[in-house]
Amino acid sequence: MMKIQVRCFARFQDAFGEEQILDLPDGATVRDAVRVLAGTGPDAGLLVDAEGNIRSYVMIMHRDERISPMDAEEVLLVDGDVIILFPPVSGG
Amino acid sequence: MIAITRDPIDPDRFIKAAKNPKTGGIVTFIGTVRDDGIEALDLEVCEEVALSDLEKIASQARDEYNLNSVDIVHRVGRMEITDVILVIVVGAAHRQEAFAACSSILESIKQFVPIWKKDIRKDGARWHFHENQE
Repeated sequence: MMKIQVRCFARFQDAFGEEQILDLPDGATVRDAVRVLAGTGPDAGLLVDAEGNIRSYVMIMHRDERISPMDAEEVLLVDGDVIILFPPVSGG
Repeated sequence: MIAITRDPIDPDRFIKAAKNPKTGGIVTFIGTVRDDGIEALDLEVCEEVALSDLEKIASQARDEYNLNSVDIVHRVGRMEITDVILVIVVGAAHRQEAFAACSSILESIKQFVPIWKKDIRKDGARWHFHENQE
């Protein structure tokens, strides 16, 4: 098993907390982590659709790089990884 | 200067600093808090990512538009109506590059820099959240 830290901001933080430590099986991907996180709150639809696909507006940071929701299935996690989730931005 | 601050921003300071013998055009964007029936605006940031993003945006604009100077200062935290949220000041030899660079920088900030607005109203607070970005 791996421990993965997930940090959320703005509206995602209201729904899923500022930070969660998830226990995931070896071989889990970023998409798996987002799906598990979505299941921890009453507003899973904010992060994933009915088929479990990450919504395209979710901005994902992993190891200082942005990951497209479409590519999250391809990114393998290792124990201790940190994922940051941003809702659509509204600065400026 | 590329910065994120919780303090009020004085745009004049950056406009004065942009004056340069090689600069023929200084274009400034000042974003302010608009009264949309709100009491105040609260901005949250992921500073570690946002500051890095702003530095990359500035660097790319400097190269792409051959700028002599570029300043981006974004305020976060609670702000009142008319307070300055964002200042972008770019200096270039000619106006075309300066206008284009300022607009490009602003659009990049609005597209992906992790900063979020929350309206503070009498009946509660509400994030700006546009699902149609999907």
